[in-house]
Amino acid sequence: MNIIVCAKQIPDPSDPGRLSPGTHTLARDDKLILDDSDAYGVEIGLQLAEATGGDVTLVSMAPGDEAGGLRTALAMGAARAILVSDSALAGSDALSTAKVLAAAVRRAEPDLVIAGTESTDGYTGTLPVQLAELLGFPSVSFARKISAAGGMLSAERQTESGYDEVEVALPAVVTVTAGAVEPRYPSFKGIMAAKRKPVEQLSLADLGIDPASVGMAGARQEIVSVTPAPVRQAGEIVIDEGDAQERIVAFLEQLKVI
Amino acid sequence: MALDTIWVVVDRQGNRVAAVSLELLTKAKDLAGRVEGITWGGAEELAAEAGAYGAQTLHTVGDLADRLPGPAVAAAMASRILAGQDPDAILVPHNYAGRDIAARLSARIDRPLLTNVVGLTYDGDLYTSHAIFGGSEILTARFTGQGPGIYVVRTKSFTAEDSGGGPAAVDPWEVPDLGRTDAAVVTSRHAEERKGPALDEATVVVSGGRGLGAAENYELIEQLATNDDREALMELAESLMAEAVDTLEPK
Repeated sequence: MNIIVCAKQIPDPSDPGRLSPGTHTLARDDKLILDDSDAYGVEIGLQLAEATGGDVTLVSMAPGDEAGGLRTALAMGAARAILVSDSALAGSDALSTAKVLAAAVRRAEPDLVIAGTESTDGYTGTLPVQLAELLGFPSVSFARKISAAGGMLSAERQTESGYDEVEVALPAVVTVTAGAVEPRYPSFKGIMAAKRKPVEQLSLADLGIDPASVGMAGARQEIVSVTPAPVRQAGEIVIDEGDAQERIVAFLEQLKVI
Repeated sequence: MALDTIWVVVDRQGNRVAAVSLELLTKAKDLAGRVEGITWGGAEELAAEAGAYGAQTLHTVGDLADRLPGPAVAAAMASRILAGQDPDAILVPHNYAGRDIAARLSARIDRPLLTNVVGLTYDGDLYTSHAIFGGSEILTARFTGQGPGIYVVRTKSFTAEDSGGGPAAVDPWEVPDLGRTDAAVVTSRHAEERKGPALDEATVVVSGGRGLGAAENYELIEQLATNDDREALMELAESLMAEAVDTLEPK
């Protein structure tokens, strides 16, 4: 099975996030790493490829030819990567990004496209299904268990009240929840092999996309301001002087919860 | 009134309108003269509740049988927008069904969307609020350009209020050809047992920490959260306090 995994490269979440001055977009000028939420997609992609034959191709969009996060996923076992990088893409919203990824995905003619439910930095949570619509594919979002056989994919999809069992004929887009599988650690052999695996770099021109339709130039929403959130009122600390339970219950009564 | 028309995606929880959609209907009624809901399945059973919270009309794409709502609901809305209907805003719940619907609608009408919305304010234009970086900063945004904005709004951003409106008029909507986009088939549905409300729908969250001493003592927290008898609560609070003192006091 020819599997595409969308792999976002993000600033290290352990560093405090910040916005670029002026544009108010997420600063992405430091080294980027593989988004943890996409590591689950990579792992599921590898497991399905191992079970059905075939391999995994990564697709990513990142500034400045950044491929550090892709090398991590290649070291896990993906066969190759497609990286779209173009200065005109800075400031792209989810729909613009979906259009770019759709153009890259079409070139690979996949049986299945896998993505995380949402990225750790932007957490828009809509890009994979926008991508599905642009490709004309069905989608199964919020999948927590996936198997594939005979051109069909089966998944458990989370719902408000539990889960649905869903089947879909391929090709399709599926988004996987964090914790669906345990991502493997890259082996030393895998890390060495990843250095030689192909990363195809594409520009907007390669994909036939007008630079004016994406990025800041094509933006159809704007960030007006970013301000500190109001300081939350400090909680009350109850020190027990023999009447703490009275005061706790009085507090609950005041909240009208008892 | 600030805006003419707002569409609200009316998600359902069984035969009731989902709580988040009641919140969105209430907010839409504050902002616009006309509020139209869009749902799936039997709309008659939702019409009274949707109307009470602000919807004048409740459109339905009909029974989806074993299909997921995203493709059909998005395509039905998109076909009307592309045919010239022009709502000022489309409010969508930030939940499983809502995100699928918003994403497909966005791609179909070629309009971006704003997600994780926690506030909506009209001041000559409709502005959104978003809590970012763990809620330490508030980002304000708005749409530019032509066409309706798609706002994907988080649960509990607004308070649902019954305004006493009559039942919404039910209006069936035809669904255009979906191609392969609705090929996903639900073969079975499973309800998982859950005690209490969903976390994001809870009015009060009772939490525990290191002071509980051991995992099994979370039973005390659960009793505290589910008990409304004053005397019993007093005893529980006393037990919890004793446990905390025992656990946290320097030995």
